[in-house]
Amino acid sequence: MHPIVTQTLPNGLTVILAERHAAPVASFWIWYRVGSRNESPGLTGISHWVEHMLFKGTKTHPHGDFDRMIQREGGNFNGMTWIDWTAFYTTLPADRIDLALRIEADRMQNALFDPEEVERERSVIIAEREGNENKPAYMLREQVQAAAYLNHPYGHMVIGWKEDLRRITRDDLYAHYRTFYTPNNAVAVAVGDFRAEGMADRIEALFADIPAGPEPPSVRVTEPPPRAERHVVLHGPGGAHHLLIAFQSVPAHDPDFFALSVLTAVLDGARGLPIFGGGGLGRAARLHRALVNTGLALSVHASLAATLDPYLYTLYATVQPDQDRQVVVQRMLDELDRLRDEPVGEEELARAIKGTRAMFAYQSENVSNQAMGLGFASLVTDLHWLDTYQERLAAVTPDDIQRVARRLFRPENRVIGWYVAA
Amino acid sequence: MLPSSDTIITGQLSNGLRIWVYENFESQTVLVNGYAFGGYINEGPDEQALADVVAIMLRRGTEQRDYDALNDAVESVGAFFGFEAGRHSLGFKTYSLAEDFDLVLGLLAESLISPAFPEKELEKVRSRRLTQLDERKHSTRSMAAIAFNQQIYPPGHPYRVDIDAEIESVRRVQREDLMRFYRTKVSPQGGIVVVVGAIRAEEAIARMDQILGKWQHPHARPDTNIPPRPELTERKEVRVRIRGKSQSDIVLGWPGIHRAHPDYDAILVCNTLLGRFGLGGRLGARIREEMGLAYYAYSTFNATRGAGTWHIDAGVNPNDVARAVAAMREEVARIVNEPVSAEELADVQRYLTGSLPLQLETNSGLASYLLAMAWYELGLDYLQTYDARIRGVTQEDVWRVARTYLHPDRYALAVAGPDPKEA
Repeated sequence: MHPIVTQTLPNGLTVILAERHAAPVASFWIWYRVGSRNESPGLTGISHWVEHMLFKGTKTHPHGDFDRMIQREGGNFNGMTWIDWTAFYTTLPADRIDLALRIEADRMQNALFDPEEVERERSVIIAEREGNENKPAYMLREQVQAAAYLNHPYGHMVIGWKEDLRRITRDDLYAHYRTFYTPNNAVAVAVGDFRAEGMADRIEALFADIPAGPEPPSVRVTEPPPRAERHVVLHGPGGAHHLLIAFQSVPAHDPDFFALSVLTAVLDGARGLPIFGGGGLGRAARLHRALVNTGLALSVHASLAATLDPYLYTLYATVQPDQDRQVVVQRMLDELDRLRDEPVGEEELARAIKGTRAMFAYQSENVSNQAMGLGFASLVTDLHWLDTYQERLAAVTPDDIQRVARRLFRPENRVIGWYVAA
Repeated sequence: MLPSSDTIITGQLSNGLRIWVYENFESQTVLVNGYAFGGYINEGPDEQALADVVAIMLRRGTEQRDYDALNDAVESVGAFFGFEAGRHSLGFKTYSLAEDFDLVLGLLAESLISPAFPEKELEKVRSRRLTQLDERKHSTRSMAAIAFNQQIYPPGHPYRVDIDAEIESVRRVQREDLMRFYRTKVSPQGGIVVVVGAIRAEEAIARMDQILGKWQHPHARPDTNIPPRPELTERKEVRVRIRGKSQSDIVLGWPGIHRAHPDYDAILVCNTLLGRFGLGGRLGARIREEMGLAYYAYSTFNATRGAGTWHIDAGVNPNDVARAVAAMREEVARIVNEPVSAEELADVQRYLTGSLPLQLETNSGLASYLLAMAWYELGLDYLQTYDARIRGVTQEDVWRVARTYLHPDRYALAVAGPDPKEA
């Protein structure tokens, strides 16, 4: 394994490089410390919209043909906006990776935000949102998230409220871009079949002259401690009910994060790096046995995401329409009580650790995922957290799991949400 | 280096399953992916989804172990094994750390050799499937795809999907039906299994033969006929109303080709140009970038042993359906009536050839190529000749396949979504 090289340019850009010579490919990512977490009321969805605009043209490439430029060289690309960060990546045959560096350096400083393009993208994003609205799971998530937070911007979805999407202006977008998409608020990551020294030189040559911006405003909001259990019920068309139970969780840097990660594997199976959350495969795990094998639910998942601030730890189930909904909720809560009241056995712990090792091995087979892991970890905590992730999981004890279960799974810390199909 | 006849080791297991192995010691894992003969085309007229239920039930218990015990065994090492029915195949798959290869292969073989098809599990599978089918009726994307499929494949065609017939069949299906289908319609003989990852080829073949080679279905006679290619002789349009939604889904398309058809490479290039390159090719450039109507607008062609479809998909506001369909037809007319530019063609050729190493980076990427090469009989050197074949596609070839398979006025159109007045 080749070492990981990190450095910081004088303008504040952090650079992380890792040589990987298994295949003749390379992946280049730019991560910005901005996401829906940094949005104010009235401007929800603005970070995601800026991400879209960064494909729309710069002074040097006014028609925004980055997608075609990259694909012409055989590359894949995308942008993604999440609650804590925004990332752009390009994966190319290794001998052509310089193109990705040039594009990212260009759009870090020269994006145009042409007013006509802004208007066209407004309707594209509203269409993206309307596609989400077609899905009951999305509609439920949006309502539960809003109910879970009294004050913190984690209470709105990354795509934003439609009312805000109709009103955000070109100048709002440009101001957001100028505030957050600066080298001092960014991390560059390259992983693949290159020499680190040469790559470091090219990154410096292309990025070092981009002027640093003022320190971006920090998120001042701290969510007050939850004091009331909340219930959300939506009604809509569908063939199954959807249940989402959400608890305010712990952030990535919290020492209890690793115990919560093992707890999640016990509930729902092992998983790789918890970047966006999402379920595991765990058909042998407790939730599946308690709810799916008994016929109470069609599917069930626990979701943990590593985040900057306390985000939501969620349990999600789809439920047959003839099922007694209260029984399903109670069965789920019983499983959480059991985690609090009884120590987890050695065999379940061992399965969680081994399963995580396997998931990391599957995930690390391509350079894009490796670069994603490095960038993600450096944004939400640090690289040491990533390096020691599996060790720290292995050090979790049954007591730790009981402690974190007691800490999280309290009635006043939860929202119970139903999408009731009719 | 691309996998080729020099590096793909081939053999045959004692049950007639052909095996291809590709060593990849850059990874720590081993992936097994295979197709036995079987699949939907073997279902009787009232047996829609039987192949699917068989595939699901194969994973639900053996004569030695129940469902929980199988799950315990595979998850104790963070591995996976499972089955999936296709049009002509029963697909099977495992992945694990290399150290757990024998364990997970053993579970796969046990499930194939001595499945129990337990009654108790069948009831759960039935109930779950019926609810899923009901959910699908509320999905604009699924219903547009199904309605489109029904415009292309006439009643009685083995590739036709019929959700109501499926519901009836799932309600009726009994354990005996599963056992009969599995014993008489699923066969490893002539099928293919691919092994990719951190294992020596010789060892992989020996272990596979020892463990999976015991899976024999000597009395099975799966249907290996290729269904006829459907004809579309007139414009067909259907609208499926789904209440309570914000967006409508559109599918517009035509019958396509089978995978081994000589036009495959030209269609691959033409389709990439029409609806993939960049953010959805010409269609994405027009419908998303210029008109701002959709978040997704692209084209796809699928080709299996028999003829698949070639179609355009988009999700738009219910009030924009007519504009989006008009734009799709204009783009189809353009590619049918005018040759593509040399520059556009070159861009797409560079993309398709240049991106191959990215697709072959992982064991799963390698395995899916190898499996297609073996199953569709494309040859061991398919990847070696890929570059030359794609670069050999001419402007005339692209124009010819567009004229042959696409038509701006004669097409099948399915729209699923709310009444515009409701949205």
